[in-house]
Amino acid sequence: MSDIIDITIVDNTGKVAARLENVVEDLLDKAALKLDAKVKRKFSKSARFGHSKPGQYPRSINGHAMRNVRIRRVSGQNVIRVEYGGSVPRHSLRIRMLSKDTTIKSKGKSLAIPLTWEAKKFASNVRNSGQTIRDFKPGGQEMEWIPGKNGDSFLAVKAGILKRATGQKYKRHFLLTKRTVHRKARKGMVDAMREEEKWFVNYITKGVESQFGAP
Amino acid sequence: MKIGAGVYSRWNNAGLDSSICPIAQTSPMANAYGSTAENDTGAGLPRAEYLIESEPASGHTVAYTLREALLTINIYHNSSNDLETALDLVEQTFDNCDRAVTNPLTVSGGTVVRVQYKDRTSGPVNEKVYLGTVEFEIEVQRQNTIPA
Repeated sequence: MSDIIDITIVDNTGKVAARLENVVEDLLDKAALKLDAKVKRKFSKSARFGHSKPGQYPRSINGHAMRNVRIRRVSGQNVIRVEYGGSVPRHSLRIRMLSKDTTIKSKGKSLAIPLTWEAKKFASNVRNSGQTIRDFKPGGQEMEWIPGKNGDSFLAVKAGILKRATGQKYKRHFLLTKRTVHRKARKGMVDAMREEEKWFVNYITKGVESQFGAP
Repeated sequence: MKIGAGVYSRWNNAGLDSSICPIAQTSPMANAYGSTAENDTGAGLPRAEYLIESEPASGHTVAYTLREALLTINIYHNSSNDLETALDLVEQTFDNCDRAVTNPLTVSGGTVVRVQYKDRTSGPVNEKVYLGTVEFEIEVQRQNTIPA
């Protein structure tokens, strides 16, 4: 005895194929929108404040994440696509960076990585403003170049009062490195999608079964 | 301050849950996101969702803190005409809803100062689904407690 049962459907007019196509399209539309809501709810639920670690959902940019992620069925195709888009390009860029492992390489002589809160704020604000790292003068002081280890160096200002607290002569604002920086992906979209795979398959299968009957 | 809870109440009190579609109650209601329940297997469209993106405090004194937020309401529909009708309803319901005579928008732990219509867009997502978006600016004032 065989467990395999062959069923032949005679579909001379193409009506069955057309109906199946229609049902699948509808189900994909519904599933995409529901998945969209599920993912956004997950972003919304994660705790706010503090930085997320690799493997966690993004925290402080939940609003941006929600507004910039869209899951839709592609027009005219049975394909669901995750789109990263929005009115602020750097927000959607950030979501993409959180979702995938990234390699950051310097376009110039070396890569400047902001280390302090002030430097991070400056780096985030000066984009497309024409200002360069040379315009960053914390407390009105010019930054000095100081050598580090392994070919790295720092841009720093004299520590002043902090010297007594930290014992360091300089407050290092930027790390200058010639190395390539690898940034690990956050859990974000990738993991949310992986978790929902089972739900998604079940939703489509149940939907087709309810229209055509279980095999 | 739970703006999400206020938006949810206003949606239901204005009858949008029956005239457009219901929005599921989220837990906790402080969530910045709410949508039509995604686990149901019933009719997919229309669907609605709201997103609240809070801005840093815009005014701060000893007595109060002013905070602005952007409320975005998305509606998915299978007909562009029905979508426009639904967007009209949303606009009427939420524009200046802090001053509504019945069931104004209220927020626990604060006072809603302003709810102002900002923008509205609509268009097809694909050949079967249309998406409409209405945005509102919300300004909320929180009374600061002064210790005895």
